[in-house]
Amino acid sequence: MIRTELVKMLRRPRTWVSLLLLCGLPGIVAAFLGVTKIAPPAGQGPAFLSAVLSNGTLYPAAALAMVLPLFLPVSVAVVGGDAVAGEANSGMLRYLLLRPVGRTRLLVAKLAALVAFVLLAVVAVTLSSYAIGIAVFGAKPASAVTGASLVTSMSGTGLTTHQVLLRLACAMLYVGVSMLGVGAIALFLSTLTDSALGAALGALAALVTSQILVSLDAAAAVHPYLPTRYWLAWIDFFRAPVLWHDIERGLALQAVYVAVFLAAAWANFATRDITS
Amino acid sequence: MSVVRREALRRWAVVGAFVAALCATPVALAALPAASSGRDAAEQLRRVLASGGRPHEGLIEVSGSLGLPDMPGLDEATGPLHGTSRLRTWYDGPRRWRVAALSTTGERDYLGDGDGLDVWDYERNQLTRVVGRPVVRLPNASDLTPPSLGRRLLRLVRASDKVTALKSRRIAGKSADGMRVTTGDSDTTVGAVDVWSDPSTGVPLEVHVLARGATRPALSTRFLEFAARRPAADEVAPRPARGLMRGTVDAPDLLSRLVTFTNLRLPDRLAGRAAMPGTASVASIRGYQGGFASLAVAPLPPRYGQRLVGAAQDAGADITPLRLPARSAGGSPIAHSGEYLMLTTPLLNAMLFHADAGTTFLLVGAVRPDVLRTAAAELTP
Repeated sequence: MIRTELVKMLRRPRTWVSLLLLCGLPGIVAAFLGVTKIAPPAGQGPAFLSAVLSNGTLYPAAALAMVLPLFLPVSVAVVGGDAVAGEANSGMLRYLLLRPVGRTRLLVAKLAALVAFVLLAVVAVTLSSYAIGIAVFGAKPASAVTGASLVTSMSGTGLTTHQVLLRLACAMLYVGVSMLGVGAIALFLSTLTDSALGAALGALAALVTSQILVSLDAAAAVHPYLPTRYWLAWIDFFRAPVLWHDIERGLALQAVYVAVFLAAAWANFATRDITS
Repeated sequence: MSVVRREALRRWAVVGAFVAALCATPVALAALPAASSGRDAAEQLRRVLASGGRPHEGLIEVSGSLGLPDMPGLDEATGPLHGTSRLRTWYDGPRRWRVAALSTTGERDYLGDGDGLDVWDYERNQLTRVVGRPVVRLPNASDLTPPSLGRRLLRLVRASDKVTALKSRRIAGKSADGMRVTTGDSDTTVGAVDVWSDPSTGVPLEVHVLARGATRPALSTRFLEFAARRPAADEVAPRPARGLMRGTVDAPDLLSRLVTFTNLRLPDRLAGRAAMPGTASVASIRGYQGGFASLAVAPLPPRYGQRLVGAAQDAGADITPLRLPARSAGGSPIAHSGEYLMLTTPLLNAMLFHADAGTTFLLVGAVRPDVLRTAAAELTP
């Protein structure tokens, strides 16, 4: 069942178009930066964008910072929203459930396909931006760094190539996990409606609401429970020492969102009348 | 009720119970009772003031709602006073510590040692060595850790201030003793200072500064994570990457640089307050001590003074003539004149005073605007 869903996801042109668009944004930004060599002023623009001008190894981190706020969650919401509602909208859901599989298994398979898409997306962004970064900005040690270090951490210590790659891998996985909450919300909404667009927009509405509340000091009491609160905690992998506080909470919060909305999707979908 | 409907209700009940248990968990954790050490407020005060040598490390959240406008050259000092910011601290003693101000795009580290201060700015990719200890400087993020701010404020306590114990509370997973200082001087805008400290070390874990008459703090700083242990050597003083761009200065900020640009000697007393000791050699910028009602005065270079006046006007401050009678040394009433702009917040007030003699002064303090006006009137002969 899971394999079937994975194959279906991989065969859809939409999957590859989404990945292409996700990888395209860092490519466009790299082209402008590479030509003009104009870095964003201090404190402005995505994280690490200023640092990549002298060394392209960190470009995957800058690329993750670019796609994380909007592009990645939008693509995850679209895929999650389409998971069940898309089948219902195309009239395939009733035939799908005629197969000797339980609805719970179908939901788990849909979630597995969603997780696979998220991982595929972050890996694609990371690898493509690494290649772009090396090609455009080079892989020589950063201009201000000598010795065995390749770049500086945010705390000013040196990071070797091995340390940079390890932290990039951790950041990539963390960003992937951060998307699962949005995906689970979209999957739940997908079981409520036959409109894939409606489910995706519902998940995006939740996302935008969370983003607005996170930026509002008056809503500080609910910040720790908002799905986007710890999204940027992956940056803490690049501090010395690594700051685990928000990373741990971010992982736990996404696990809670996945558990709650998967359970809600299960409660709704398991006994829902399938009419299309 | 049909079997399907009953089954649906059962499933939703399971989900509802699961969500309720999840929502109740943080509430239950927050409701865990805090143990009290039983120390009275005076003993807490003594322990906090004596905690300067206690090593510790942790993560800190600073929240301010002072609403100071952006002022050119002063953003490093005023920025953390509005909004929420995060700090990390590694403290091995008063001569060996590190405070990192975190942001989503970088980090600014202050690393203190016996000989001076290193400041690392990731976004500017610059490591700056501040040689020696500047006589006057602007506050920065390292002054906003609970231990630093708590001890600094409690050193201002005078006999007229009332010190009382507060209920213990849990901070960063630890029970903390609480105390409140209610200010007795009507000149200050500070109404109360609340300090919760670690019972075993006396290190302040949370500090609230409340404006007069307010129920919510205008400035608060608290540990989210705290460990009363000596930080590792490579954490409190990490080795910078080799080849970093380095600079050396003896004036870390605008205020300390102004010392070298101005030579106007300020009076030894102002608005009934004596100049702080230690600033005699830098008589052009002085602090005047009055407990919580202390204030600082700095004459500004003309061009910079104009920039500040422009920024204050952009922030909505109006130019007002100052004509207050003051007493000359001989006791006869004289009139001084000039113009001023007042920037007021619930806690901190700042005044830009342009004297008729041509000099622009910055007066700032947690004092009533009247006090600043009185001080301004005494500034020019």
